[in-house]
Amino acid sequence: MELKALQELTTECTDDCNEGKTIFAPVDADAALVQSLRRRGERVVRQLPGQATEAVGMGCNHQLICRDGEWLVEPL
Amino acid sequence: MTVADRWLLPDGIEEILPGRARYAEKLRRDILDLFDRWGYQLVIPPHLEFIESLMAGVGHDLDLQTFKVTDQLTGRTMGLRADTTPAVARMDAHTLNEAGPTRLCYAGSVFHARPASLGASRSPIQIGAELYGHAGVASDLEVISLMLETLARVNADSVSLDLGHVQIYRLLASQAGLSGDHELALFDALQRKAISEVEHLVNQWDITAASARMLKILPNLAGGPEILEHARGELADGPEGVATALDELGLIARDITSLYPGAGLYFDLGELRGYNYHTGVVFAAYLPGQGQAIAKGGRYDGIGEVFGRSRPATGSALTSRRLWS
Repeated sequence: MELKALQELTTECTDDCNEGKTIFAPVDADAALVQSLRRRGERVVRQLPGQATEAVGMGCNHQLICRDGEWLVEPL
Repeated sequence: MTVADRWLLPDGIEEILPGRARYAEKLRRDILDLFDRWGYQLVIPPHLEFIESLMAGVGHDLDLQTFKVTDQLTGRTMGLRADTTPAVARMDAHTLNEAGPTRLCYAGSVFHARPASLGASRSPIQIGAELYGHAGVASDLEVISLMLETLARVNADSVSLDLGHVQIYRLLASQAGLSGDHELALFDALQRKAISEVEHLVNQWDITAASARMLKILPNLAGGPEILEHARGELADGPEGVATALDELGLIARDITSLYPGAGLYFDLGELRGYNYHTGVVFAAYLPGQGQAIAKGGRYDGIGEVFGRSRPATGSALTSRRLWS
């Protein structure tokens, strides 16, 4: 079998293939919280200081947001 | 050639038998899953490329380490990749061409015409992560954190993290007005930690007393996080960028200590590993009792320039057989 040929037979994956939940963590999100989310199996992409690209541009469909002093994961 | 000799593998080329292969594959998947959770997207660069593309923007050492073959279709020389980073940098700069930060990761064999160190494999499996498009200390911190997180996967808890910053030497050499040859000669002595040779070389040259003093003290600026404050005093007459570099190392020390309290931090301001293509913070992780780093990396801004787009970049890789065993 040739893996690249097998891949052509499936329609599941495109060049943008980024399955599942991806959480955008803004630059001020608590590092320990991000660490614990990842350790629980969540995919978290951190915003870097000065970064212009927003959550959607980074392939995220959820975001960490601070409401009343509590960080929550919400869909975009 | 006897029948037995015919089946001998070349020096440094190994096969991995079932039990260990299963473990190596599990580890590869675990680490790639970890990279995925940090938002690093897997790419699969080719093993073979034309030599010009493989060598663009990298040091002479990599040229010596590269196996070369002739492409029978074109007659051109191709190389088997000896390091994955240049190919991934090309994919970021040229093929993907994204505007914002890009996080890429990879896992696969690399091939060394000469072993990287005595007794080292000539076909190590390299697994690593690269972050392009961000120039600040936050991206250095992210790749160092990810490296420590990866080592925690293999229960390598008592890791010693060595940190340096090649910009400090670069700036001091430039302030002293060293010629290219002198800069390289001093670099060579510093890399070998040949302190008396460093002093001998610097004493021969017509440079200011302050520059000479700072260049000579560089190999002695090594130790725990307290060395940074000491260096701030010793290198106070250096260019402004030196203080910035020390600030960056200080920030990394603070955050790594808080997130990974088990990691021992060691600073070495005379450490110039990968000086030819590194441009900022450099780091390596060591396990107790082992002389070779289990993982290493650093900043290499501008590597994409040869592929048409200069991008800030930082990354780390594990290339050790010890990881798989």
